[in-house]
Amino acid sequence: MQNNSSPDKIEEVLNILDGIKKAEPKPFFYTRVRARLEAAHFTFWDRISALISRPGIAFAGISLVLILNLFAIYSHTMSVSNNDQTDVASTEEYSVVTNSFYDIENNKP
Amino acid sequence: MTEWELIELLKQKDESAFKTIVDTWKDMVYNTALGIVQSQEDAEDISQEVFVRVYESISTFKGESKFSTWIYRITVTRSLDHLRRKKRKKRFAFVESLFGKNDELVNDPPDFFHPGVATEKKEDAVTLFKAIAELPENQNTAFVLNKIEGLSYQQISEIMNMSESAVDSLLHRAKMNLRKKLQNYYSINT
Repeated sequence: MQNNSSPDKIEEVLNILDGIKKAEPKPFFYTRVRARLEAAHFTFWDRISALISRPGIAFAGISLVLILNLFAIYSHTMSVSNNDQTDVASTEEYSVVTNSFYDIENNKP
Repeated sequence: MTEWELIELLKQKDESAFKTIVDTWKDMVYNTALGIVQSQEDAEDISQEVFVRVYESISTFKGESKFSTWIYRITVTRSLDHLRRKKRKKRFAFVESLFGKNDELVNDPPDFFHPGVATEKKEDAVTLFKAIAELPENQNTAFVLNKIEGLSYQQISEIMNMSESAVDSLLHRAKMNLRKKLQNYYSINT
């Protein structure tokens, strides 16, 4: 029976790699490299634009802008009507009399 | 077209120059990565990474070494990084399993059979590759470059950035270690 741990056997195993054939990658390797390169060049802004162009995200974004606009218009209207009321109240409280052209022209001694 | 013309074209991001470079050096890169990481999927992945790196950093190639030496260096670095990452992951999974966070068993990778070895020598080749995987990084790299890629001591010294006598000593130690490991393996398994 052959002794597998004999120096000859060890040398034989060590020399297995003499004349080894070169391994090759699978076909269409370049195509895969190209795809990987493109994926690597997918920048931060590309990712952002891809994200915001998704229908759900785009719809939510537009709705948010509309709601903010409506809220801004509503608050502006409210503050204008409040100012009008304050003016009336001040006039009444301090008895501020505003002269019109009519009053000036009909000013009798 | 000369190698320098190709490099100059690649610096201008020329598509056909890049394709020629990939087609010319893909076997060399794949074969080296395969020898070091001993997995066809990982070697494919590393080879792709190497060419992406070549494309992106070609402007840093000043021609102080041969172009193939530069590509070999990237390949060896990427392959060794990959092995280190894998070892770290394995260690982390083992620690997690000790604390009961990860119940999955930490399995050793399956036996690797290099497709370039004759089928009748398969069993011994598997044993040899197991022993090569246990070598220290430097010895592993020098042995793979010498035995699988068939590079001379001078070429290996340029790739590994060391003297030829250092490569000679590395290879001597690698063979000594492999003899010991094989002897242990065969004395237990006979």
